[in-house]
Amino acid sequence: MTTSPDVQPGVAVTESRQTPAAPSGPAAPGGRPSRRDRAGNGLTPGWLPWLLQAPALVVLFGLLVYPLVRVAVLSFQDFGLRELVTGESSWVGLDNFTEVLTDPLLWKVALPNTAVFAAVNVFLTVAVGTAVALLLAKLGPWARGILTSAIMVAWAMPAVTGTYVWVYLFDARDGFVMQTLGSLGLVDPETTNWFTERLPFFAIATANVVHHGFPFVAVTILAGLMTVPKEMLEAAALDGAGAWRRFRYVTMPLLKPVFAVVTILSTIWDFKVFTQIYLMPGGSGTNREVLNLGTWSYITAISQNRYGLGAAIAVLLTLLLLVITAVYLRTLFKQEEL
Amino acid sequence: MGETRAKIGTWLGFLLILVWCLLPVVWIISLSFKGPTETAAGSPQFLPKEPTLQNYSDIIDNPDFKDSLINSFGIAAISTFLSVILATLAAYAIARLDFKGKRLVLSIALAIAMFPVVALVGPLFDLWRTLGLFNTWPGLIIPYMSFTLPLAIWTLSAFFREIPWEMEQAAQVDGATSWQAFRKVIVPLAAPGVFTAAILTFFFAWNEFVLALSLTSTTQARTVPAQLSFFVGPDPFNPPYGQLATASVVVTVPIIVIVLLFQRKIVAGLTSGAVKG
Repeated sequence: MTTSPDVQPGVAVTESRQTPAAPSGPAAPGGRPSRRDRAGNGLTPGWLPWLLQAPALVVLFGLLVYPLVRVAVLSFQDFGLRELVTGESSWVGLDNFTEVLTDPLLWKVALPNTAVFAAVNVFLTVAVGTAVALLLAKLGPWARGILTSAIMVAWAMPAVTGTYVWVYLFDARDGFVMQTLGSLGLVDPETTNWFTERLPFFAIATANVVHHGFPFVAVTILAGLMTVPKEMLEAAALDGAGAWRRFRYVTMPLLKPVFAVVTILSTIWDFKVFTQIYLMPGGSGTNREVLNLGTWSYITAISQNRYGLGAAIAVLLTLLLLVITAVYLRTLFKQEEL
Repeated sequence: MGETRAKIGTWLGFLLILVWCLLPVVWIISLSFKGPTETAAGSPQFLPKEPTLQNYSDIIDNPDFKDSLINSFGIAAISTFLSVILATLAAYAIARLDFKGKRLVLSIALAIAMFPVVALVGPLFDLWRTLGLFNTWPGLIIPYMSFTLPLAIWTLSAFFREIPWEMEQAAQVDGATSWQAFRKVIVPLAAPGVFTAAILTFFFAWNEFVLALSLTSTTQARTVPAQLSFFVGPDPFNPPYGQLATASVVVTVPIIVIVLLFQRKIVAGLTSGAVKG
């Protein structure tokens, strides 16, 4: 990896750098070649890019369009086992949405369990990831290599097995943590079960999700840190800026796009958390207190065979994510224009 | 004085993160060598008191586990292969050719990455049953391709943009045919990127849980992550933790070895989307 100082986020990277074949015309806004250049190239026929992309687009569209339409349609139907067998469908208008939106479970349980959980986890993931990246940047090459390997091990641990580890560690009565705290007299292992209560349940889930999510943030921000010119930090140090001020006023502004990318990607991931919740005791529907939008939708559709209602919940989750993604794209493309 | 303290702080942080990252993995490996009496008691000891290979022989003798392991390998390998081919073609077009709608393609790819898998489960379940894809390998391979394509396309187009394509023409000027120029010049330069995309794709398919759980009904197509959730021994109140841990080790260790071997490439691939390095 070279250490060029220009840092650009996500998709914008792919777009902002044109191939050497494309000359940058003077009229090209934002560094993009004008249409004239493109037409004047004459080497590549217009259909070639689309031919090359066709197979990928077919697979992507096939997956996006059909299920998207289907979920949207289902959310306006009363679709249960009977309809699944007979193939008939009965339209119920906005009934499913009314039912979901007036259900106290949405406002008191599922939405907070999704949004507050995501907010806390994103904050912790980015904070821990940044701290680890700053530490990595300070280490010598040898220690950095070891720690990066350890971080990648945490990243490589499958969500399913990772969840089993955390559940087992915090298991009621017999878990390692419970036994240790019990032997210290801090909790009574016979009467305490952390999984039945909402707050401890999500605290354990947070430990799991942050452990799984911070490696990506750490390596990405480390890559960003490598692009910060040393002279700037040295100049700031000479001017008497401490470590925190150097980070706050030199590093942070330079890495703003990188922080934007890791924050928004983490947000998208943490809103969708499913496996880590579903596999915890009570997470598969037996404890309604710990449902989030994802598990609620899944359980309603698959376990209770109320596909219409489950689809309505899925539509709400998708709309929520759509808003976040729109903000993400706007941020990216806005930065590209700079 | 202050410098010494900073150094001590750095090393404390180093140790703390090291332990935090590795503890779950080491813990589950230790668990896999413990007998049932020890795991049932919550195994308060970190290391096994009487290390045993019983769990491993139990796992090997378990036909369901063996089948799901074969499924995991087959499905992940085929999805990776197909996904990387399609992504290479698309990324080549995005990185090398100039056309209108590039931004749209990339936005669609991002939208797919955003889409919650849970929302797709119902319709896919329904459709797969109609098409006869339910509980089959293609029934998982197709959605895995769709979900890995965006990441593969981003990673590959980031790599491809760094390739000095003029070298291809230079080789042709020197008398190479266009196929030779492609084969001898471009392929070796593009290989690391393709390889990175392949690892990331395999990683996703290997670990995926929701679709594997909902779009299969038997070990004919069920992969290990989903199979693990059906791992209940004869006594539901005393799950076979040792075997569960052993099965987890079997699926986790290969992926960790791959990740450690190709760490540099994976880190480069992961960050290529976010940081211009």
